[in-house]
Amino acid sequence: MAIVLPLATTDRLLSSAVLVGLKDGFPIFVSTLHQIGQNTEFQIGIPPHHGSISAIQEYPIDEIQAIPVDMIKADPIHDLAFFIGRTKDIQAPFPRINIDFNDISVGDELLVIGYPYSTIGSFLETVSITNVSAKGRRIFMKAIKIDELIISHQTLQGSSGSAVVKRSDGSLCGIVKGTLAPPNVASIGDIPLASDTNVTYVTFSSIINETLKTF
Amino acid sequence: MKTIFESFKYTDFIDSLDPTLKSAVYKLETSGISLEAIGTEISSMPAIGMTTKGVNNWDKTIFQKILSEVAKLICDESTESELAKQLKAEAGISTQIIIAGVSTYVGSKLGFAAALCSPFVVLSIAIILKAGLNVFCNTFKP
Repeated sequence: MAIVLPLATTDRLLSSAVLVGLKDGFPIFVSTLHQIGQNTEFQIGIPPHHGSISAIQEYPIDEIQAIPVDMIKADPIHDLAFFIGRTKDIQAPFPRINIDFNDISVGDELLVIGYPYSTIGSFLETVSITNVSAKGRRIFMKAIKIDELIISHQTLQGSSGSAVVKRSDGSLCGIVKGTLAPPNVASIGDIPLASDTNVTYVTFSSIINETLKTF
Repeated sequence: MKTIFESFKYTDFIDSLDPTLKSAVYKLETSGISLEAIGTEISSMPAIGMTTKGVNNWDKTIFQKILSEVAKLICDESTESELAKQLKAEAGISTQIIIAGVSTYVGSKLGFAAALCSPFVVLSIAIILKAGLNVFCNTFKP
């Protein structure tokens, strides 16, 4: 199962991040790029349950451990950001990454693992069971085809970067990108008021595997 | 700073992109789309097609900002930057060293992480080299 931990700047949580591999013993995490903004210092929060989703999670949490991480790659086309830890302290399994888009069918059961509302301070990790609503292929400038899963899932603040895992085999199938929302809706801050649909877009995981090969 | 770039072709920098992006840039360029248009489109991608929550943190003008900073860095010959001195001191300077140095410099100027700037720095340098260093810099107005 994927280990998912909250990504933070020096003073607030940004999103969820998935442990996807190691580079020379240092952990590599992936999250989405769109929420990074003008931040240059990043950390991965380590809640008391260490991202073990089956463990009982206690709250409220008075203090939390964190490891500093550096952004090592940005992929704006796929809306992904990769980070490497500065410490080898994290000893956790990382998931098999699904690289076969044909292995996933509409209707398949998926698990979405992440930290909804992490941006307002929640360290509660949750799993939601969902299904593949559609398989998509976003065309970028008629040159790049980006495989995406559309899932029936309500994405909340902080859910960006959540792991999407195929329930039947535990493989990582993608990273939650965001929720469809009608354009030009009113917002409070950066929260669109009419975006709570159940149409969530997921960047398919094969690009993660391709990117890891470049490190 | 310009002298550092004189020995490179713009394709040297495009070739440093990740395989997916590299092939896309070449494909788009072959079809007649300018590198600047490609950079502008790429910089809008994390926010395109949906309202992703938190998307307001993404600056869709990031490419234009980075292009402007890279152009200033390369074309301004009034002072030699610390970065230029560092790069000139490197033995066997490579595109990777230049990209890392320029990304760090531009990132610190604009407040972005260096890695976030990197693909846009590559495209910016490629635009300048493709136009020709002197041609670009003679027409560039900061």
